[in-house]
Amino acid sequence: MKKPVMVVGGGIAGIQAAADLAEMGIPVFLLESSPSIGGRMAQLDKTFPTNDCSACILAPKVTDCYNHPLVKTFTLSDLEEVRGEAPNFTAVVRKRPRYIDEEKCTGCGDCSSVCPVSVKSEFDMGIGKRKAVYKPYAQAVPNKAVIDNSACRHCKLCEKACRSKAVCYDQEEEVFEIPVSAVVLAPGYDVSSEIPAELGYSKYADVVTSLEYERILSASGPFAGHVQRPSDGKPPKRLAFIQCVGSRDHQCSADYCSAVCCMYAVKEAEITKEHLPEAEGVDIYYMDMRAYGKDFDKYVDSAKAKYGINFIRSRVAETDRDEATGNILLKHADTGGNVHKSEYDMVVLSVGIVPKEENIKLCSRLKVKTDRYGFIWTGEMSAPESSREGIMACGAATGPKDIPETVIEASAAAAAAAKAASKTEVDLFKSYPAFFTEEPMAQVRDVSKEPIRAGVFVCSCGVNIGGYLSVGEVVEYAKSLPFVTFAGEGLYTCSVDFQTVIIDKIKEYGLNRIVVASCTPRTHEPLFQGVLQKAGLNPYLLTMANIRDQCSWVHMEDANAATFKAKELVRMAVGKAVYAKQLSKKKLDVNKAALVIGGGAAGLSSALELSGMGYSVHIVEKTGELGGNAKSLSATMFGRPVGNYLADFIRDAAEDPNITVHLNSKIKDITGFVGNFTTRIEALGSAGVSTEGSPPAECTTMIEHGVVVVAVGASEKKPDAYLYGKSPNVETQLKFEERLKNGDSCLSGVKDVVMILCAGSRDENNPYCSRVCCNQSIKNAIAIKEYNSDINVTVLYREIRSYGLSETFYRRARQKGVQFVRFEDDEKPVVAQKEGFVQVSAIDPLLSRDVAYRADLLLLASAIEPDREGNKTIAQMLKVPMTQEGFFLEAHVKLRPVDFATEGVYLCGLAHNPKNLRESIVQGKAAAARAGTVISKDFIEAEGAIAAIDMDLCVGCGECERVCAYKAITLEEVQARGKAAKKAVLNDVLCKGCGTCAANCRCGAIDVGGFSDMQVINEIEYLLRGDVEAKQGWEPKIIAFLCNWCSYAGADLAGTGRMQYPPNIRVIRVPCSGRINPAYIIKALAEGADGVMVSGCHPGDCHYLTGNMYARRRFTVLKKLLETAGIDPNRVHFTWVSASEGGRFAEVVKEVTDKVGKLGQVRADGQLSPPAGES
Amino acid sequence: MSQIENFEQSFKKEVASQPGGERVLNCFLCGTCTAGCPISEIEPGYNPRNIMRKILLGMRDELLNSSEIWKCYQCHTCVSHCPQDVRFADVVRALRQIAVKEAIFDESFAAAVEKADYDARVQRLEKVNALIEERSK
Repeated sequence: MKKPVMVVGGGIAGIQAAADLAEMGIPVFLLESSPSIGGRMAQLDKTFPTNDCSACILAPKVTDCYNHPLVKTFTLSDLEEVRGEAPNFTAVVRKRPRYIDEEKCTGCGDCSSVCPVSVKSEFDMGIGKRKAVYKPYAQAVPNKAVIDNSACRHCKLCEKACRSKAVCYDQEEEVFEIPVSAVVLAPGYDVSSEIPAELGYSKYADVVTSLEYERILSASGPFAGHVQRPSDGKPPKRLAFIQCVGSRDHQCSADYCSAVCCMYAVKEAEITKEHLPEAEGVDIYYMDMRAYGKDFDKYVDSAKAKYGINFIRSRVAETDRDEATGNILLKHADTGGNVHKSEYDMVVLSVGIVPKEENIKLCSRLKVKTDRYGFIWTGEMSAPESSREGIMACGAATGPKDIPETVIEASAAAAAAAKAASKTEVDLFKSYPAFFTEEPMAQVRDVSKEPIRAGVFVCSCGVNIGGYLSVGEVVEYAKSLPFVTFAGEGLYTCSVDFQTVIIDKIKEYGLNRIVVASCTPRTHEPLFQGVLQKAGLNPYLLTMANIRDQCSWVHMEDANAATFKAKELVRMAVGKAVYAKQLSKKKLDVNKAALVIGGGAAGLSSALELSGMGYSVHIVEKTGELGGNAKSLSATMFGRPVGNYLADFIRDAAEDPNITVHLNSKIKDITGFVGNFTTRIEALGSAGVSTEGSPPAECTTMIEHGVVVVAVGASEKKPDAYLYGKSPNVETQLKFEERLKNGDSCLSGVKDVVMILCAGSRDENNPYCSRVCCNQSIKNAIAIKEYNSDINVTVLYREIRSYGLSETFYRRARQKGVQFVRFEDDEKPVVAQKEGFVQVSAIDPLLSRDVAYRADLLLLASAIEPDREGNKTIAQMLKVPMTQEGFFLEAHVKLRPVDFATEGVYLCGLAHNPKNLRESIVQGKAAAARAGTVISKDFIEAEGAIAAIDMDLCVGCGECERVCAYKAITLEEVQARGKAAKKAVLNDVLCKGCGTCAANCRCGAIDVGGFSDMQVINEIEYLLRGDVEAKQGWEPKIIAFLCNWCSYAGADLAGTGRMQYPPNIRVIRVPCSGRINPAYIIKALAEGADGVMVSGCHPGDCHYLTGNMYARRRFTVLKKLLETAGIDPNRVHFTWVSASEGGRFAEVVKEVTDKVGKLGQVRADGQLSPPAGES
Repeated sequence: MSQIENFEQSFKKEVASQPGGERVLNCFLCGTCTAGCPISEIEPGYNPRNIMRKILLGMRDELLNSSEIWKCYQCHTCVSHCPQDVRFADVVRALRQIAVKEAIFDESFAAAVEKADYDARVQRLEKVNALIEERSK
C-alpha cells in the first residue's frame, strides 16, 4: 500500500481530495479543526445555478468519505508542523479534547436535552442556539456530541443522562506524529467581517449577512425555513441585497472580487421568492453582475424573467432606519445620478470571502507561502502545488472560488498528492497500527439452502426509543412473527458490546436473516452490515426497521401508538427480510491505460499527471502539434510568460515513456465501457485530409484503455461584426496577443486602441459568457500601456467580469490610464471605417451622450466557441451529453464537474466551458485524479444492490434502455432459445441500482437487489395482513414510499427535530422514486391501505439524475388509471420532500392523514370505495 | 444627440499631477460618491460621478467651464464612502486649481466660494447656539 496522505480541512475540498485519494487506494488522514466535517457547504440552503438542496447533494459525499476504510478522520485536530521532505514527511497533529468518548457516543442527543446552558450556534451563524454539550447540526458527521468547555458549567447532568457513559470531562489534548507522503491543505475560508459602518449591520437587526440569511432560508435553520426578519419575526415584503460588501473595496483588506457573491445573491433572491411569492420587491444592488460560470447568465435571466427579481446597477452608500416602520432605507444613486432612498423590510449584505486567520498561522508553521491577502499561494502553471514541494493547496483557501472550482482543485490536489505517494510503499497495518487495522474476514456462510431463521434485535437507544415506546412489548411481539427464531433487545445495539452479542446470537441460533429495529439505515446500515460480515453472513441479509427517527422521536406523546407502530414496522421488516438475498459484487478487470482526446493544455496536463501516477497514456491530437490555444498566449494574468511553461509541458509529454502521442489523428470509434474500452485511432494525412480508401492497416491504430479524458478544447470565434475581416485596423484579442508574443510590430505608429468586449458572447448566437475575455482584454491593455504609456486605450464593456483576484488587474489597468467605458446591452457600439482608422461610437450611459473614439487598432474580445459538430461525434461515441451551446455536460455542475454520468469518462478544459489557462491545467489534473480512481484498481467492483434482467421474460422493447441515466442497459442481439433475439443486457458495473428500469419494465423482467418486487410486496402484505391486536375503532393506515436520498432523509430529519406527526404512516424505503412500480400502489390499496404517499427528490435534485422525472410521469398516468379502477385518486398523494425539509415532511404527513381520514376506510366491506362524488 | 469627439485624453494625467488629484485613476465609477453626497440630495443635477466620468474621458473644457466643480462644500462624505480611495473632494479642489490657473475662474471667485463655506459654518454655529440657548430657558 502507498504511504498515507494528510488532508487538512474537512469541507467540500478536503472531502473531495480525501475521497479521491482513498478511491485511488491511497490511505488518508483527514484533519478537521471543528467537531464535524462538511464545512461551509453544510450551512448552505441551496446551491446555484441549479438550486439543488445543499444538504442533499453533500450528505452522501460526507458519509462515503467518513466511512471509507482508507480514510481516518480526526476532528478537533490541527496540523502543528510538517517535518522532513516529501514523500518522507512527518506530520505533527494536535487533537483537542471532545470531552466525549467517540467510541461510546451513539449520537442519541440525551446529553443535549438535559444541558441547562444555551449559547449561540456557530452553525446557525449566531441566530439559533445550541447547548454546551451538542452536535453542531442534526446531520453532523461524525454523529457524536461534543462539549464546549468554555460554556460548560460542569453540572454533570449530561454525565448522568448518558447511558453509554461517553461523557469524560478529564479528556486531554493529544499531540502525535504521523509519517505521510504528501499534504493537501484545504482549510477553507471565512466570510468578511469588515462591513462598512455606514451599511448599518451592527446597528439594525434587520440588516443581516448573506451567510446568516442562508441559515434563515434553510428548512433546518433557526426559523425552520420561514423567512422572517429578525427584529419582529414578520415576513419581509421588500428585501434588498447589497453586493460587494467587504469585496472590491480598498477601504477593507479585500480589494479583490470574492467571485461567488453575485451568484449566491441571485440564488438567495430566487429562494426568497419561492418562500414568499407575495413579496413585493426582491432587489439586488450591484456594480457588475459577475455571472461568468457555466450557465450563470441563464440563471440571472431566469431570476429576472421567472422570479421577477430586480437588478439595480448601483452601489449603495448608506442605510438608515425609519423609526416609525422599522424599515431600512437604502441611499443610492441611479445611472442618471438621481439619488434615491428606497425602503426595505430587510437587507442582506453579500459579504465576501477572506482567508482565515488560522490559515495564515498554519502556513507560517508549515513554511508555505501565502499571498499578500493570506490566501495560500499556488503557481499559475503549477497549481495546486504550494511553494513547498509535496504540499498541495486547494479550495477557497487559495483564493475566492465557488464549489465546482473547489471540487476541481481538490481533485487536482489529490492527483498531485497521488504522484508523490506513488513513489512509496508501506505495510499500512504494520506501520499505522493505531489508525488502520486489518479486519479479519470471516468465512462466509452460504445460507441459500438453509430454512429461514430470522433474528430480530430491538434497540432502546438509551431512552430515545425505550423512553417513548415499550421495547419489551416489541420484542415479545417479534417472537410471535413467522420465521423469527430469536428476538432480543439492547440498550444500544450499535455499541461495540452489543455487536458481539449479535454475532454470538447469529452463531448460536444459526440465524440467516437479521432485522435490526433501531435508528435509520442511512447512518447505521454500514455498521450493522459489518457486523453480519464478521458473523460470516452476506451483508445484504440485513434489514432495518427505523423505530427511532421515524417512530419514537415523532410520536413522543403517545406511547401506545408508538409501540403499535414499532411492532408493525418490525413486522414489515421481517416480511422484507424473508425475501432478502445474498448479493455479491461483480468484479471486472481494468485496463490501466488512459486515452486523452486533445493535446492542448488541459489534455497535456491530464496526461502528464496520469503518467506521473504510473499509468500509460495515449494522447490523440487532431493537429500536427501539441499545445492548443495556449500556443497563442503570450503571458498569464500575473505576467508569467506562457511559452516556457508550455514548451516544458510539450517536451515532458514527448519524452515521457508512458505517453504515446498520436498527432494528426482522430478517433474513429470507441467501444466498451469503464475499465475496458477499445478505440480505433485514424491518422490523417499531413494536410488534415482523411486517408480513407487507402490501405487502412497503415493508418489505423487500435488501442485498449480503461478510461477516457475528453479534452478536445474550443476555439476563438471569428467575429461577424465590427468590421472584422473587412478593416485592416480590426483584430481579435487572441490574434493580437499572439502577434505581441511573436514580437510583431503591431503597435508601431498606433496612438489609439479601442477594445470592444462581448464581441460574440452573450448575444443571440452565443448566449453564454466566454469568461476569459474581460481578463484577457485587461491583460492586453496593460501590455499595451507598458509598451508605450502614451497609447490611449479605451475598453468598451457591458460588465467587467474580472472575477476573484483578477480584480486587482482591473485596478492596475485603470491606474495605468486605461479608459473603461460601459455600454448598455441594447446599445452596442457602432463602427465606421475612416481614412487609416476606425471610428467607434458608443453611448455613455452615465452622461447619456454619444461618444466617438478613434481607433488605429480595434481589438475584439470574441467568444470561445466549441466545435459543435466534432463534439457531437465524440459525444455519440462515448454516449455522453452536450449542452445546448455545444460544450460537454458534466454529471453534476456542482459536485461532479469533471465526471460524466457515464463512468470512466472525464472532462476538462475548454470542452467543458470557457476558462483560462490556469483553470484548464488544474481541471486537466482533476480529470487525471478522477480517472485514477478507476485505473488504480486491479478490478472494478459493481454495486451489490443492482438490477438483474430475466432474459426469458425480456421482450426487447427497449423501455429500460431509454430510461437508464447511466447507459447501463443496451439492447443486444442474443441467442435465446436457439433463435437470435433482441434483449436488454445489463452492464453490472455501470448500474447504480436506482431501479427506474425495473419499474418501467412492462413484462416484469427486471428486478433490483435489496429492493426486489417480492421484498416490497411482502412488506405491504406483512403490514396489511398482519394481526397486531386490533385497535379500538378505525384509523387510517397510510403507506409511504420514500426515496432513500431526499425524502427518507427528510423524514429522518423530522425525527431529529422531534417534529410530531400522526402515527398512521408506514414508510417503505426505495432507492429512488423511479423504483416505485405503480403496481405497488395498487397492491397497497387493494390490500387495504387507506392511502398511499409517494415522495422523491425535488425535480432536478434526483440522486440518480432523472429517476424522479420518470416517476412523476408514471404517476400522472396512474391517477387516471385509479379513477377507472374505481379508487378515489385522492387516496394517493405525490409530493417532493428534500433531505433538509423535516418540517415539510411532518406537514405533508399531517395533511395526507387528514385527507385520507376524511375519505374513510378504503374497503369497509371488502369493496374498494368509489371516488368521491359517485357514492 | 450631439457626439462628443474632442476630448483630451491627457486631462486625467493633468488632474493626477495636481495636489489632491493623485488618485483620480483609481475610480471605477460606482457612484457611491453621488449616492452619499449631501449636495446631490438638495441639488438634483449635481453628480460627482459624472464629474469623474468627464475627467476620465478628457472633457476638459466642458468641465473646467462648468459651475459643477464649485458646488462641493468639502464635507468629505464621498471620501469616507469611496471603495477605491479616489478622494473626490480633493479631486474637486484640484479641478478648481486648474480652473483658476487657467483663469477660467478668477482667484477672487475661488476666494468668494471659500468665504461662502466659511460663512455657512459660522451661520450654522450661530443657529445651533441660539437653539441651545432657547432650550435652556
